[in-house]
Amino acid sequence: MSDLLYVLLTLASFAGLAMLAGVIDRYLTDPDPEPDEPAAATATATATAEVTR
Amino acid sequence: MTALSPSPAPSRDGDDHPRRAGTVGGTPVGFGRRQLLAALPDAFRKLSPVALLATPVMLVVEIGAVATTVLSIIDPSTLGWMVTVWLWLTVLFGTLAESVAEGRGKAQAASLRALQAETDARRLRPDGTEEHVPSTSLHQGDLVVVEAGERIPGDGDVVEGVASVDESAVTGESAPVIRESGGDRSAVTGGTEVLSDRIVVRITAEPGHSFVDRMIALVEGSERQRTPNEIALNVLLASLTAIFVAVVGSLYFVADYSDAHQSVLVLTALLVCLIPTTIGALLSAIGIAGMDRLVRRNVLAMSGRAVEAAGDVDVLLLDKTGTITYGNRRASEVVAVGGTVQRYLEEATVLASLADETPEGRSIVELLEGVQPEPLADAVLVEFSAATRMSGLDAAGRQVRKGAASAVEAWVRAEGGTVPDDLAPAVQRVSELGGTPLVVADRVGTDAPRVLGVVHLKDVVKEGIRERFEELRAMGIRTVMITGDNAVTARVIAAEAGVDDVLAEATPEDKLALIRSEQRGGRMVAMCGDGTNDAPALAQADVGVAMNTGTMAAKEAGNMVDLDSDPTKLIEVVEIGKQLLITRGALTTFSVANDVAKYFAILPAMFVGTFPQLDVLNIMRLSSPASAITSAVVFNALIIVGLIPLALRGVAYRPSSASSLLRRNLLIYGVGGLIAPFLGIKLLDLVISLIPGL
Amino acid sequence: MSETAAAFGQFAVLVVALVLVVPPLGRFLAHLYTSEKHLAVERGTYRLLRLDPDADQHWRVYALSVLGFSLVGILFLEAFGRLQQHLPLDIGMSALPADGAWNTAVSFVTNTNWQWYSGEAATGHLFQMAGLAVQNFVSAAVGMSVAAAFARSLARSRAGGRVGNFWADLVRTVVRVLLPGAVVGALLLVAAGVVQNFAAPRLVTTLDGGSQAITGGPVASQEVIKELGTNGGGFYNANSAHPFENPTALTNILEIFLILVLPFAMAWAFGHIVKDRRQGAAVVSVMALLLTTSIALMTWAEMAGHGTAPQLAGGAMEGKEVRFGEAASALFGAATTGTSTGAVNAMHDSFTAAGGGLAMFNMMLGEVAPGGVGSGLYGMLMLAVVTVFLSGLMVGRTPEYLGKKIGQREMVLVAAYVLATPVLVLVGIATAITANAGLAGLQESGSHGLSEALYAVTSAANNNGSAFGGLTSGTPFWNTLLGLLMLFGRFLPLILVLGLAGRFAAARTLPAGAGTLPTHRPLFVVLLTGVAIVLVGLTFVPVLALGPIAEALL
Repeated sequence: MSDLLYVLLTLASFAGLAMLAGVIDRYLTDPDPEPDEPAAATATATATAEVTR
Repeated sequence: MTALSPSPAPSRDGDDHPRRAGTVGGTPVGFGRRQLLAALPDAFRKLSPVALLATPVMLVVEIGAVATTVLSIIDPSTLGWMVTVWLWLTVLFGTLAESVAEGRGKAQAASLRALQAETDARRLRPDGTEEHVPSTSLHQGDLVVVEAGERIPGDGDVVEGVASVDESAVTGESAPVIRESGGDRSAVTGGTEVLSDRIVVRITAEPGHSFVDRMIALVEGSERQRTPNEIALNVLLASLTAIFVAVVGSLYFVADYSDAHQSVLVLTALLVCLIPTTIGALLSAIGIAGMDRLVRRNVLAMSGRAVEAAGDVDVLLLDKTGTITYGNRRASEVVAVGGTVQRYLEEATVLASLADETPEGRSIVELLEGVQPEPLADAVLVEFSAATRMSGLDAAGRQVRKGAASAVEAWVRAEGGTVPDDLAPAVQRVSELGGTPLVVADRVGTDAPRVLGVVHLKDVVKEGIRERFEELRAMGIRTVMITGDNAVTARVIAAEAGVDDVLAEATPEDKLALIRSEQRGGRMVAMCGDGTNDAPALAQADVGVAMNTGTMAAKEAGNMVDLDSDPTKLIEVVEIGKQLLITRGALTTFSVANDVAKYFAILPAMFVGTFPQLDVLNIMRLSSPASAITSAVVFNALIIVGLIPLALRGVAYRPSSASSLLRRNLLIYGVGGLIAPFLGIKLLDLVISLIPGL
Repeated sequence: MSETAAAFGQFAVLVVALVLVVPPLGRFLAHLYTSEKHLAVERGTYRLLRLDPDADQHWRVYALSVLGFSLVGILFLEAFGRLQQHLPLDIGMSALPADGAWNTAVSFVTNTNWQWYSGEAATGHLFQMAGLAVQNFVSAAVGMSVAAAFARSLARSRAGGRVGNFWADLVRTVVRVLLPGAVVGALLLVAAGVVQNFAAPRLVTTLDGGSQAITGGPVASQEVIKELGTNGGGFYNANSAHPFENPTALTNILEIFLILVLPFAMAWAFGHIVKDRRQGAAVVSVMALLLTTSIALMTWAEMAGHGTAPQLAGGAMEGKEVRFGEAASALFGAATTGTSTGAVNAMHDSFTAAGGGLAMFNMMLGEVAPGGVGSGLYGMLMLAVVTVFLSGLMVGRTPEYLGKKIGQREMVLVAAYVLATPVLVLVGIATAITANAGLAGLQESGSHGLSEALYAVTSAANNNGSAFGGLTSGTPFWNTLLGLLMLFGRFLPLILVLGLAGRFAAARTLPAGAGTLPTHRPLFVVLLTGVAIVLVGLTFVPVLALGPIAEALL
């Protein structure tokens, strides 16, 4: 009986750890949450437009 | 009290401008009682837990303060109320620091707002007739007419006409500037005043998105987004806080086990002393103050990220003209050709230049100061024109000309003269030395004109610029000179100025390509520029400083705008960026180092009752446990106030190598952070132990 | 020869041996972890297990491989322990209890080797050799593989989060390093007098006429991997204090050498892998600085023998073997707690309070001086990232380590790493001394009882495995608590390390310039040492104050 308990405890722990790896992976591969200056982005577009014009 | 580089090169003109007349000019660099009082209401508003979510460290302090308040109400004691009051003060000092930092921008914002007062705009209809509309209803692409005495209703480019414009309200520079259609001086800012003439402006900004709007948002800090490094530091601080929560939480149980029960009040006091409150409280103030320091130098950063990036810059692209050399060439020597007597040549050169008010002309007169030719009768000035490319004098019986070699040669030949054989080598030599040759010729009576000699106009490298480049090199920053000159000329100037590299005959595309290739190598690039041509490069660069005199396209592409339009400013921008980062690192180190002393104060105080032997750790010999705990808490709060000026000013920074910077800052803020609280807590204890009931 | 001279003498021998062996071994390891060639026996293994040793794994795949491999190891070992009485060579031992089997399985798979039981009284030969010893090899190899993956990630630029192949790392470490090392080491140990046989327990008549069963067995072969893989699980309960495991001063120094050689060599290999030997030398220096300091302090604490009992007895010899003496016991103690070995040649419970406190502090450092095989290196590198973050700011640049920017996401991983083990220890100690079942295991009360519990949870969460003694831990409560601490103390940091490795491998490597903070200079070495000490000090001083410090100041 308690054997089963420990096996389940082990499985649950490892499932948690595997999920953690997944969470970290998603966190690392998400597009940059750091706001990338919208001002600069539009400026680049404007500037490119100016040059191509 | 500026902490920046102590070697102000004389060339850094604009450095001493009164900052933004009427707005910043009077603000002292430190902070005074008035500023503190003015910031108080806002500081109280920021006590809201929602506002504190952004700084987990201070949120923990506030939760602690609430807890001790409740505990003190239930079970009042002198110690309880002392701790409670000082915990609240700790939070308040943190929000106060932020408010003070923001307050400095608020004053500027107020005066900028005055520029936005709605004015009457004269919009041109497609058929060319005018209509009067309020300035707030102007849209991109609208054409408006502005005449002398009127305010420009919105940001835009001059498409027709020339005018002198008073931009002092934005730049603080009182001398009017010329704005004209076409070219790189076409941008006008809404709210500035036209002093003369009439211009037609094409509006480039939608209402609410003008340059002044952005300035207001920036200086007020309302658009402030926390920068990547600030966020990363916050993560570290949050994890330290979490560790200490675990430490103090487990200590509750461990103390119980050891029969040394600790009240929640004392544990809260310990927790607040341990978590990095100093840096937590000052972190956002440091960021705001960094932006503000740029504003004081008349540089507007469009994002805090750009300021941080400035600290990381590896390569500086600098335009030759105006940054490395004085914008104008100066005469350095006069060489006679064709057997002309030197004295005669010099006199003729002075005659040809006396009326020449261009900087080049004046430099010739300055060079030949001792030469005083007899004035010619009935002299008439011949102005330089693009057609003749010569200037000079026509007098009775004598004509003197100076100008570009080919133009003067053509004139001499056309009038029947001959060109001496040694002219070409002389001209060639000047060119090879990186200079510009001017040829001087004259004609006496009706004789054929004669070529007299060559004036060597030379680019003059600004004084002190070489030393600044050496500093930059010490900081690990490579300088690249950008010039339209040919490679030979460019190399001569580059060697003289001591830049690391040179990009000669540079087109805007070359610049862009250079930036891209540096970035591919993982380096961060900073540059400044003003023309529309520069816009792609400005946008590509990690730090792009646009000159305020430049075009709107350039200003929008860059992530900073220099209102003084001084390209040398780039160096200061880099220094300010570094200073910002150093201030953060130094105060974090200080904050963590402080903890050591606090342990020595609080741990013996907590446990000496159960374990008398721990009194050995009370190396400060604090008078009583209650007084020791209170002293540590009070010190912890007061150190925040004490460091607000440092946070606002930034720590002292002088350019030097990474190792020596680290050694110096470690010594001051690491070792200092270890020692200071021992002294501070001891002194506070001497006072606090006098309080009855403790 | 005076005791002090002997203390210096054995230290000098150790230093010379390490200086001679570590650099070539480090170079060899670096080659091993970067080469693309397989040995024939390795290729056979891969084919047999249907593994692709050439796939460049994404960090998450690498991490899942580690987890899967370890999970299988735990379940297998747990079953083995429960069923050992049905298997050959059981020498009459019965099944381990459920909680004990689980604790032992977790303990050996996590390279902790905490032993709640007496080896000679609970485990048969087959379980020791085919169960525990196998994990002694592979759990060490797992740590080294992860460290190698981390080092490789720093050497890569824009590699899309790929950090190498776990199976290749694992198999190579076992085949090319641990097995040959164990063979050589075992021969040396046998030559020096360590027991190696398969005999059944032998009954002897003792001096006072009673009878005693002495279990022989494959001791030397277990002993060598116990040290080499910084495992620490002894054949006998007395561990390296037992005369069959560690008979002489010579075997003592040899065992200390075996404990230290791989952790240091891994740090040296790191320098080769990132193609800047100075970086490896800097890490080695920090480890050596911390270890030397702790050896010096511990030796001083033991030889000075403060405390009532030592002063009455004329020396702190309680719990120490006469054949080793105070200095050699302290040296072994520092080495075994500075690495994650946890083998002991004396009872740390009987160390002077200061000495016992130092042993705890060593473990609290997070096993970085020089730490477990592999885990010491990655632990130290994580601390280096924290140091770089603070000092990088102080030179006016956003921080970078070896050309990798330390931004928000990197910091989240590092912060979680720094947070994980201390929180486990603190939560563990709070639980242990609050629950009645926890208190029941403590032999003493007061400060010393606290030290016993603190030592146990610290040892478990940091995967050290050494025991303070005095704690009866073979109860369901302690077995479960310590098992969980060991499990999460091993795999939480490991996943965070691999995540950071993936992040680094995906990032571009920035060139170093004059403005970059140099991470190989003495200044940085001192700073990193300071950060390690201050960080740990600030975290654990309050608990230490109530345990060993309060006791030491008595």
